[in-house]
Amino acid sequence: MKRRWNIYKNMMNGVTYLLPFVVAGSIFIAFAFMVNSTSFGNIDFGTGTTIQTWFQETGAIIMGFVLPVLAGYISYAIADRPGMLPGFIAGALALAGDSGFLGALLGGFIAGYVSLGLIKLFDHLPHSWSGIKTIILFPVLGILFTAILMLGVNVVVTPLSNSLQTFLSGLNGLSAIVIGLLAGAMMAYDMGGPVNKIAYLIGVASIINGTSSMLMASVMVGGMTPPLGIALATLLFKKKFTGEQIKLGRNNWIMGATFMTEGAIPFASENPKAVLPSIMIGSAIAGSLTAIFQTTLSIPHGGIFVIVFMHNWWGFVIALLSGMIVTAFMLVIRLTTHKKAT
Amino acid sequence: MVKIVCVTACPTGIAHTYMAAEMLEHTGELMGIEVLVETNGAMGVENKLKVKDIEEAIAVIVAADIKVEMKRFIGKPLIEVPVSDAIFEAKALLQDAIDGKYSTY
Repeated sequence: MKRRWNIYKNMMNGVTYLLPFVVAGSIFIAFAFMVNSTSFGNIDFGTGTTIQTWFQETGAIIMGFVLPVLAGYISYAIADRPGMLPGFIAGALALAGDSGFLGALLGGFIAGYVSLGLIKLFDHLPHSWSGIKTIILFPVLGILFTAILMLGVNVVVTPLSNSLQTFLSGLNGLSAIVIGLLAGAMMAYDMGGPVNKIAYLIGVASIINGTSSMLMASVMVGGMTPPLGIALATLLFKKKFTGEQIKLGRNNWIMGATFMTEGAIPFASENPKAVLPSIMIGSAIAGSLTAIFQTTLSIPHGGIFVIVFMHNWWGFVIALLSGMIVTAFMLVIRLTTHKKAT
Repeated sequence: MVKIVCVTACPTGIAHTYMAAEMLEHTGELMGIEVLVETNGAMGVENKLKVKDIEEAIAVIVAADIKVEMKRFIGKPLIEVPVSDAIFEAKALLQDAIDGKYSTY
């Protein structure tokens, strides 16, 4: 358990630094599509103009940092500063070798443990060598061994990564609906915890090339529904909640609108038997509805602020509202049948 | 007054981190102990723990899902838990700290 927890923690250290890059990069690329879109004001606005190219290229450069940052900070979490450089290079090699998200993930761990091994190996060197160690030995040897191992990773993982990518971004029809249902439920299950993050990461993996996917839309709507549904419940059925909860419910409008599932936590910890099933079902319904409406999204965060960038955005709005209403009504019913039990 | 220092951190760095911090501080207040919390969120390190406070603290609680600076806690009774534990079980965490249940880091 302790071991698995550490792996999760190291991985999340990469994700925490990666997030702003994916958000900014995908929004820039979405801008490029927006100024290029024929539906924008119904004229061929900005087709192939310098502005479009500029957004596209800047966005691509930002996205280029995603894999190196992911691997770099995973490795940094494992081996501290000596791990950082080999980690960044491992990510860059994954990018160059097309092994993508999976390759970079693996590369981060490889670089980290290689660096850790080097630290152990040179531990008994005299103190006067410590400068040489950190400035030459760790970077050069660390990169050398990591890069050699990455050759293998790129060979093995690239086909896997490509088929996963095609599978995730190409999901449609019934499979997209089922996966959307599952993703929604997972997003609500622990509200920002490990299960939520796994669903979220798979969603992010489906858009990391700068493409948009149905899965990402399902994931986002699944993460927004719980706090918004609860907020709606506190607004409609004031009698079922305490004064403090109604205040928290008001906060949840903002938390939900900005895709922060965590807003639901105080309610869930108070009465998990009533809250958890309600938000999971609400999110599952919302997640499958976006897939039914074929809403796609290319941006991994931002909530209502990125709705304008969605394809079939109205599907997202319908799904979100349906999920909220289901959550709110189910919550009220469950609250009546399951009086406060901790 | 008994003093306990904590660090909270989560992957996204905008919600869990601060909810855990608030929970620990609030629970500490109810229990009548001084709880100082450093948050490592998307804004970077806020409320950085002072060396003096770490020295005076009887225990350290690190509730983090990502890497935080640990070397400064060497020699202190310390526990590492997922950030969500600080939200759900703040009271038990603090009580165990007072009872001296944590092993030295």
